Amino acid sequence: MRRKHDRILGRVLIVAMAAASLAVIGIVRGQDESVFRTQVDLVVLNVTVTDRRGRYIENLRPDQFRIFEDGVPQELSSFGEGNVTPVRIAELQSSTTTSEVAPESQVADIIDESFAGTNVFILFDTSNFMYRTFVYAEDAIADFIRGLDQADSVAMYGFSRNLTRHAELTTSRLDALRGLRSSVAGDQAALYNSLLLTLRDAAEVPGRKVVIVFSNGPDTASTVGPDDVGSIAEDEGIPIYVISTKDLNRDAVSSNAFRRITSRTGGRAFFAKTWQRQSEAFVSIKNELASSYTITYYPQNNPNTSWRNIEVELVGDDVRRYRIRTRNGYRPKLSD
Amino acid sequence: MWLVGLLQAAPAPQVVEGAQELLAHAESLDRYNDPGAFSAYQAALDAAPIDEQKQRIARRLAVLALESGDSSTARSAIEVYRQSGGSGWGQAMERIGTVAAGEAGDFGIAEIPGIPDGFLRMAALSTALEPRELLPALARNLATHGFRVSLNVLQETEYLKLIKQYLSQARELRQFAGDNETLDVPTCESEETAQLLKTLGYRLRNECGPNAVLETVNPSRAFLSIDSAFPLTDLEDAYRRDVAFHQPYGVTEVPVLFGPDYWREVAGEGDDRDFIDVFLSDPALARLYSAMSKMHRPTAIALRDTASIETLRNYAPVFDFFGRSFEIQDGRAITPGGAAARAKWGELAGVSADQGAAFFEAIVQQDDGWMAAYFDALSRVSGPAAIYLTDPARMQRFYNALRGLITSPGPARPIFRATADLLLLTARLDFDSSTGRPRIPGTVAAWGRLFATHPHGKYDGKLTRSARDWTDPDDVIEALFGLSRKMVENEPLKMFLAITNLERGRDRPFEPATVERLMNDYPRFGAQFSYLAESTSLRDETVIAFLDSMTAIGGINNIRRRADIVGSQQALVSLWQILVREGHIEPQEADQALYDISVNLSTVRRNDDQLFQATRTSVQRLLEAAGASVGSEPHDTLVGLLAGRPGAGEATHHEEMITRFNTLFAQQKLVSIKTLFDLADHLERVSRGESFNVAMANRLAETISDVRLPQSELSTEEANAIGMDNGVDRRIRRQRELNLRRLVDRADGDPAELLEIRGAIAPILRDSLVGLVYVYYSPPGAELIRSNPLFVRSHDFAGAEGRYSWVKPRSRGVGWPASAGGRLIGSLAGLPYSLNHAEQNFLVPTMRQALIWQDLAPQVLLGATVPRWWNISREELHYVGLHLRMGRALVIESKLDPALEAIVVEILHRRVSPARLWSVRTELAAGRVDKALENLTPAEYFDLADAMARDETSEYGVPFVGEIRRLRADDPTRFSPERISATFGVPHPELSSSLRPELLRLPLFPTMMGYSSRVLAESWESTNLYWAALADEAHLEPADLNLRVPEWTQQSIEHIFATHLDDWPALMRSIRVVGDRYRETRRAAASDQEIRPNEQSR
Repeated sequence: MRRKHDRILGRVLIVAMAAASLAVIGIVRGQDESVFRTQVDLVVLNVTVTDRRGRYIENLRPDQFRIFEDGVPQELSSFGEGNVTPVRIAELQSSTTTSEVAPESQVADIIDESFAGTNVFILFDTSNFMYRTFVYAEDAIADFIRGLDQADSVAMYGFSRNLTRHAELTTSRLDALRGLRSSVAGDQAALYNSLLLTLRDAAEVPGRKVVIVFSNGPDTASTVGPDDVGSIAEDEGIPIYVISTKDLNRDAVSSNAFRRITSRTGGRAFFAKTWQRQSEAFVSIKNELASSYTITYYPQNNPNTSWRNIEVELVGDDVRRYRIRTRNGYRPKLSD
Repeated sequence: MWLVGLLQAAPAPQVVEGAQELLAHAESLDRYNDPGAFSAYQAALDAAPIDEQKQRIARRLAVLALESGDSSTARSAIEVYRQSGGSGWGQAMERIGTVAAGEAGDFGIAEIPGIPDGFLRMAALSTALEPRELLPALARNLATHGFRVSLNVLQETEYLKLIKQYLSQARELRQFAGDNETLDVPTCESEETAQLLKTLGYRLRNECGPNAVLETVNPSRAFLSIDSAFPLTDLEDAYRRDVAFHQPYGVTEVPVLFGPDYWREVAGEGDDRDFIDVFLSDPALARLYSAMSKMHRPTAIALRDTASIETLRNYAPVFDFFGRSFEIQDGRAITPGGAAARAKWGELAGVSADQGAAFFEAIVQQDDGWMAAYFDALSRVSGPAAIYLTDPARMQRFYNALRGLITSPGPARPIFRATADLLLLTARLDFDSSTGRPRIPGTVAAWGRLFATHPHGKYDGKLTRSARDWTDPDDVIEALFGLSRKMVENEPLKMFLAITNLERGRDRPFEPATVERLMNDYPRFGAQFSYLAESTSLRDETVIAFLDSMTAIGGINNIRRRADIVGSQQALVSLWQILVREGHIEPQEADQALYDISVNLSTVRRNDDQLFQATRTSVQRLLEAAGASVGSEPHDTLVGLLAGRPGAGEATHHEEMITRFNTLFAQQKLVSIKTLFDLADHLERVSRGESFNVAMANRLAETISDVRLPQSELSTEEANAIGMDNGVDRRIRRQRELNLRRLVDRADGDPAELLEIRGAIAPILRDSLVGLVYVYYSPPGAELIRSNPLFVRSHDFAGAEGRYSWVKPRSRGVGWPASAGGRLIGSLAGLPYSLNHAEQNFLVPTMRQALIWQDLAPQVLLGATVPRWWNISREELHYVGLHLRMGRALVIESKLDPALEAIVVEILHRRVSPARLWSVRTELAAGRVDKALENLTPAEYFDLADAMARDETSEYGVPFVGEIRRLRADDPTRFSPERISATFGVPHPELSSSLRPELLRLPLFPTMMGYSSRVLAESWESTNLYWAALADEAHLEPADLNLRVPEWTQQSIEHIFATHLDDWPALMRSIRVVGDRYRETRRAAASDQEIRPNEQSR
């Protein structure tokens, strides 16, 4: 499906996510005679644009993006870059004609304060597999937390056989670091179970959010698989970043799973065996968060209760050549 | 203030009527555990005009005051009680606050360097432990995790090595802290910084100030610093802000049973090492410490004083496992059974039981622990079992069988108890009340034949020879004792108990031929017997038909078709089981319905259309048996029935349940039964010439095509690891590719071929029915059914070569890719346990460092999800609440009243070990009432109150007992033991081979080899009783509990912080925490709404 679209339409498939306020509710016929409601809220896209060498392309304007859902063009609702809070498109268009977005004077136009900064959920593997690298991993994560943008919030979770919420979502770096330093090493690894629970928590939070997994890879205790977890991240619009402490070729099973769930959610997988490379990976994620775009829209009426494709393209000869990375689509929620 | 009034209260004739009302009001509040009861009693006492009322009020006030830890007020109340002529509390004043003899002097003190938290974390100990519990818990951890044997050499594990490394670091830090017992770093630039960081394994990156960062330089030390929770973040923050850092750092004092010197003697060490170092270095010492600390204290002291250290060390594992049953009073051993049995115990041990410690020393030394195990097992039984098993002749005979000729290896050799079968056998025999002997299902000769001509090989050579001559039930029991010593799969014992459980409570026993058939089929279909246990009135013909149907299905060679038939049969029987349990199907109808379903499925042979028709007929039969009107819409009707049997005023709750079921069903992309039946009807009409309805077929295709194939995105490595290309995945692919229109076209109008197309939807119908069973048993918030849309469809009813069709279901594996993303394999018998087992790792421990208690969690959750709360009156909840409150009150009052104490001890002794009972009494005597109460479970309080309330001559238990008796008299059926057991009990899949909720009222089982904590969890019957009492207190609607009980239970499991696998008090603590939080939330809400706490909350 993806390959077909790439070839025919010449544009990159993107996924949207359901989140936040102002739900659009449609009543559709379910697979049988029962009636179920599908609920599609404001769809939020995290979009990263890079050139061929992987350098981030910044300062793009909203009118340079076009979004299609199931082939139907969508009207952008808001637009923001990096950690700058998105502003309404209408306001933006009336007040600025340059590539600059959201000047300080437009604070009143901010659509939702919850979109200020990014909600970063860090999921730290504290299983036996991390025993040897535990202390260095903590140092790398601590550096990342300290270096986050002031507007960002961070939650510090850990897992072995079970998930532990060391620090709930907070703007206090000290609280997050205390949470990190309270981690205890040991036991089996239930990576995908814990990732799923982290996503459930993240889905409850309005605004822009990402999950960063720091893990050695092997999963010895989960009952859910990576693709089901990836599917939920996709539906919720939460990019997953993974920093694996193993080299790419050392654990093919985990590496493949990491690449799948990160690419389909618009995140990235880093394979960083040494603590130096782990620190570099964190820097890359930080830069990406600072350079990506947050675009929202309310879907046009869509009877499709199943998978909805989202495609994003760049408009204009000067930008068309750039690469876009985000998610591949979403399933509307069934509401009770 | 009230106390003044209490002491000076004078009769006031003019307020007599008001006084009675005040008393009634106070007692009414008290019966609902209302916090306002205390002040209401005070007001009533002030107004009480006559001594009789004063006595009644003062007595209760004294108990309430003791419960809240206020001994001063309790004394005042006792004074009033006495002054107003109260009797029976002559020693009450003296018994308040008295420290039990010997208790205070039993302990010495040792020091552990560092802060308590650091050591607890490194030693994997719960922070909820009392100081005195710390070393026993550490001893258990050392015994189970501290050492391993490699090439006959005892080696320390990583667990123990890290504790020792931590202690070394802690000593350095302690030295750094100096006499001030504080780690002081005045500034970032000071020389103390380098010294402290070196010990911690860190260094400073960047200059002191805002950019200062701690960075690992010595990973081993840094690991210890992190793992022991050293406040690194605060230290770093101090450096960044360039302010002083102060951290208290001294030593932790821990109580040591018998004092440190005794254990140095046990270890044979000099005084040059710290106590903790001695303790950590000697596994035998740790095992003995564990044993002594959980033994009846006076008995432990007697053994310490009598037995040689060498004996105690050598037999420490035996004392550890079985010593909890040992009890010495006045120098004499307490033995199970009467006087004749006592003499027999002396004979068996070779030492008279009158010689207390020497007797128990002899017991443990006899035979590598078998006699101790036997003593322990017989100590745990009561009633007819105790009478039967402690008959002297049988004692000798059964002991000989258990012991065998070669005693090694003994039952205490493994790390976990190896006598699970012995405990199960003695606990679950069923007795004929007329003869006092155990019921043997079928005939003794049949059991003899089982051993003599066992078709799959000999169970036991000696038994094979002797079994031909068996004539007496004792012969069978003796054989089972002999087999219970084996540490491998014990099929005959499990078979015996399973069939005994089936017969227990039946209107009449099975025919011998039926029992023989059950015996023969047990190896293949044993797991399926739990279905037969659902009804006690099944005819022998029905049982045989049920077994025949599985035999017939097992004979189908086509594994794909067989898996679909098994799945359909299992779903139908599971639905039957649910509808019977929920009361939708009456007993007589239940029998016929199961018979009909079994016969229907037996006939399926040739093709899938037969399967579809048989399944459809069976669904209609189920609906008919449940009283559904003819022609009713099958899907919604079935969902409505499964959602519960609501009583008056419970319709809203029922609707909520239906909505939840439908949502989960839709999330699994399952197809409504009605849609499938309509489609089948349409195909039948097409075979008679009607045009094919393409739209109808498309609706089905749309739903199924939305199901993703499990292997579509997998890499080769993952697919290979999973082995995905098996029947399950082919089956899902076939459903996705199903094109009914093409099949109709291919049939080219041939009526027979057109009819057979119905067979193509038989697997889809199977999945829908299986899905309904999954939905019914899925706990609220279950993740797998929400997140894995193939969870139901991928249930594997065949397994490799079809071998798993009839066994209990289990997860295909854990971890990725072994789990295949969540897939169960096996039958549906035992599905609720398996679902909870698969879900347990999604629970999130709320306590730092805690993990979910595997094996205990699924069973406790099972106890919350299988029982439903429909058609239960508030009075029934109140009945339970009254019992729990009365039980607690009796235990507290026993502190003041020796006569009551004797009765309470006698009743509790049936379920509570001597060691625990001693602990309760000691805590009470020492004035630690809350600690005493924590040592007993709600189930034990319930039993205590029940026994007391049934003794009509007893006047204890005011103000609860009168209400209990009134409720029972008003409606004997509703408050019968059987109904209460069924309403507030839990399923016992291992102990009863059944999912029927009931209260077995057994002593708590220990964690045992082969079962882990599963049987412990089954014997834990307290959770629902506690929730019922809480709901009564909060005046909740009983139907509310359908959702609240699973939620509360889940929260409790997430809150457990247990140190070891027998740590049930940790479960009790967490249940109380959840209950207290709910009370607080409710009070806060009531306060906000300015309503009185006793008002209706919904």
